[in-house]
Amino acid sequence: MISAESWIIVPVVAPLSGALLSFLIRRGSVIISMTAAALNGLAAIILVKQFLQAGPAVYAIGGWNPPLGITLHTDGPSLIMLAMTAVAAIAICLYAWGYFSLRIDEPVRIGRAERQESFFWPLWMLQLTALNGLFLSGDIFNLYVTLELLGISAAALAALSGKTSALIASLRYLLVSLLGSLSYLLGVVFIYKTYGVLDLVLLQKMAGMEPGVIAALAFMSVGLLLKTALFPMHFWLPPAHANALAPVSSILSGLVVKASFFLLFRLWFDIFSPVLPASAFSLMGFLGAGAVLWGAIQSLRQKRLKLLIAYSTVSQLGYLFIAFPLAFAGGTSQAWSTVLFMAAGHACAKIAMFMAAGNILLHIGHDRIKDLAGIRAHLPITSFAYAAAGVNLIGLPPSAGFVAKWMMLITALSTHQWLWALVLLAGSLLAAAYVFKVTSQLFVIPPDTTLIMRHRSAPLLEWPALILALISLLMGLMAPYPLRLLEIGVTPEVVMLLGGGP
Amino acid sequence: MVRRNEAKMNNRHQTKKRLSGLLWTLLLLTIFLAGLLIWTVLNIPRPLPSLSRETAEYLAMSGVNNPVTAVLLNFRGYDTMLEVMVFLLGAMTVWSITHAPFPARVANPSPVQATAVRLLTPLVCLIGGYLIWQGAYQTGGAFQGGAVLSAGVVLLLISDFIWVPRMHSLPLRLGMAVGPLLFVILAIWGVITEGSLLKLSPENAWAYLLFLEAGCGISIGLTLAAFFAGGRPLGDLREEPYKADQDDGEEG
Amino acid sequence: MTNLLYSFTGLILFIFGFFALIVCAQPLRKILGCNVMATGIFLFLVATSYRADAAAIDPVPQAMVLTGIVVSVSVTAVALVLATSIRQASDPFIARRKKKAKGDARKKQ
Repeated sequence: MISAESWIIVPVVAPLSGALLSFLIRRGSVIISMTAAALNGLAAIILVKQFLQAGPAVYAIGGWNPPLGITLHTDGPSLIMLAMTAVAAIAICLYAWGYFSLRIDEPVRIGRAERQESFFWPLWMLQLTALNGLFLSGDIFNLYVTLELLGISAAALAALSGKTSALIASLRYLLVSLLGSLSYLLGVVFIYKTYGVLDLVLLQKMAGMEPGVIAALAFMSVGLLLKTALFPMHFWLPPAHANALAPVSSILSGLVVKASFFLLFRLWFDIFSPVLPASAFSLMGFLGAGAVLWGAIQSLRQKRLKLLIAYSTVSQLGYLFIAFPLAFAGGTSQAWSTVLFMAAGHACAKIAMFMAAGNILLHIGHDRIKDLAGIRAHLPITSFAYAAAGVNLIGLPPSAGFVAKWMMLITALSTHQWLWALVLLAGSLLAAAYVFKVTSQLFVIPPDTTLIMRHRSAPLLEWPALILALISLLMGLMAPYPLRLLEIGVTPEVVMLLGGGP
Repeated sequence: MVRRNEAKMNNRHQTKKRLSGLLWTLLLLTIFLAGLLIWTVLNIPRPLPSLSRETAEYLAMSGVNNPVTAVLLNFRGYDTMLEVMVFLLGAMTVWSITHAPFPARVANPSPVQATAVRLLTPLVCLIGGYLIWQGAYQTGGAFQGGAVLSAGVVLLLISDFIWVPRMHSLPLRLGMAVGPLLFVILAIWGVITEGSLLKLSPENAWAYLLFLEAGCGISIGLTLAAFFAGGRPLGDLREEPYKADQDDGEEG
Repeated sequence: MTNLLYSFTGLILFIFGFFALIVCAQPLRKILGCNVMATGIFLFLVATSYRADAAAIDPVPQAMVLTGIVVSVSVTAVALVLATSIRQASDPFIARRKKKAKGDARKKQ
């Protein structure tokens, strides 16, 4: 019968079946997807409970042990990412439901909204499958397949709006994503040629300094950096995220870029850490610093709200890479906690921001920043959600961004790496500037013309944004719990018989 | 007129000259990268490690005789499950972007073509089915057989057999989804009966895999043909073409 | 020795495709460049599975190649449809026809 350890497959199988059923049964696609997201959330809770009781777990699919078969494994970092994705998924499902019901109620362009909705749900469920599959997988070729699934569904979602600018941005995203995946695959081939295994746990035991491994790591890293939009390879991100529909921008900025970053971090710090020299970590830090400053400066120059938020994503992703040289000096477990706090906090905040921007765009028909004054009277919850999310981006207490940046700052000052501390402070200042640029319009500047609202405000559109923003704002207060997850174990310590049998 | 053409050609020549500096740098960098790659391959220690020993050891339990099919469908079946979903995802994406009906153009075949296709179609079905079945013993399997089947459907599409493009949306979607559906059902069946995802009991594995390959072959054939046809199936199109769809103001 | 030849051919195809992807401006050439890159990697993979003894051929890279081909077909189809839609959306002839259709619809109202 079904044992308790089978809960590990639910985050992958439930959205997968949800996608198939939504594709076949168009009328019930909303209910099917919500059920899948709810099952996913339940599985995340149960997996965390099992982890707290029993520690890291390994699940051999089909009963075949590595090196012959594929494994799924749970450990602290992957469970935190899984939980974050589950919470965000439920919020995005609710938001998308409200968003499409509102769009379909419009008398104009009804056919287009219905097309978008009927394809959004299966594509989003496949996206969720890919994300969960990536976080749980323990096999580098399986990670390639999930990366491709992630990239194609992201490009498909980005092109969903049908506008020419969205189509062009989506094609560029698809080609960049494909280049990244192929580069990663070349790395996988080099690793297989050198070691003959594809399993992460076995590779960790075997990894050493060899030409094949160095080439593999270089190619895999470049591929994953392209997908994570690290400066200077970030050129595809702002148009793709800004021109997409509101729920899609949230998914892309909040979850998709974090997945490839998680994979990169795991490869560098868990599997191949003895192979890498210190200069590689410093290089990542420099690129991250460039991303922080360049993204923030570009953000200040934008006139459209969604482009501003998209460049802010570029900037915030830079912080994740500044953690590389700091972690090299400070230690691996602290590195994980810093990076995961930053990632989880940023995900919730960015999703809330894009939801808020989508609301504003839906209700007044444009997103020019200088014409936003006075919207607080019509959309109070949305404005507050935006401001709360902005607090997390700047890094004020008690938000998750504050906790992460504080840990990074302390490490930088204690190991005398002054440059990173300066960059962190400058980044926070610039983030404050571009957050205040919008919140001053929302809250401070008195309106001179009355805004014409297209629809009444809908609760399904506003409350998910507010709840996610508050989660990111108050995550600092809940800090001990995720840290406890990380203390239990970062990598699974399971003794496995080499031979591949069932 | 001649002078304008000359000016255009000169302009193009000048543009080429300006860019070629950048092109040369890129070319040199690429050649350097190629050299690095080749040097790396030469320095990989030989003999290369391989998994053939483990595969041979458990081949008898996998239900097929061909090691590649065993690896693809049994040992690493999870990868294949995700990959058929990627295939279906491609079809979903194509349908979500295009506005044209399905297919976009109508052919005008000669009677020679019509007769030839009428004779070839049963042959294509036979060869496709044989390739799918053969996958258990020699090279073959769902993907190869599915590709042949899709070639047959494409032949029908371009030869103006009216019932093919008029196929309604739901049967087509069911056909395209039968492979992934079988995979998911088999996966969950594995959890219920054997305790592990996609675990197939060694006695019945050959039957499960044959069923699975047949379903996947049909799905792959229909999906590839849908890629070729472009557009969206009948009954899916609620909006008329050329309705101001792309030149609107802000949305979303 | 023949095995190394296949590996090198695969890598050189990868480099060709990469160069085409970066340098060419038209979307179709970029997509074809991606295809050539993928084909190069698949050839490299197939060369990995070769063994002199026919009974000991490594089947895992061949399964990887099959998966990769399917994924590559899917991505190529999506990219081509995107490129076609962009072309149609920015085609001046179709835009003129669209404007005429809009104008007629407005006149009817």
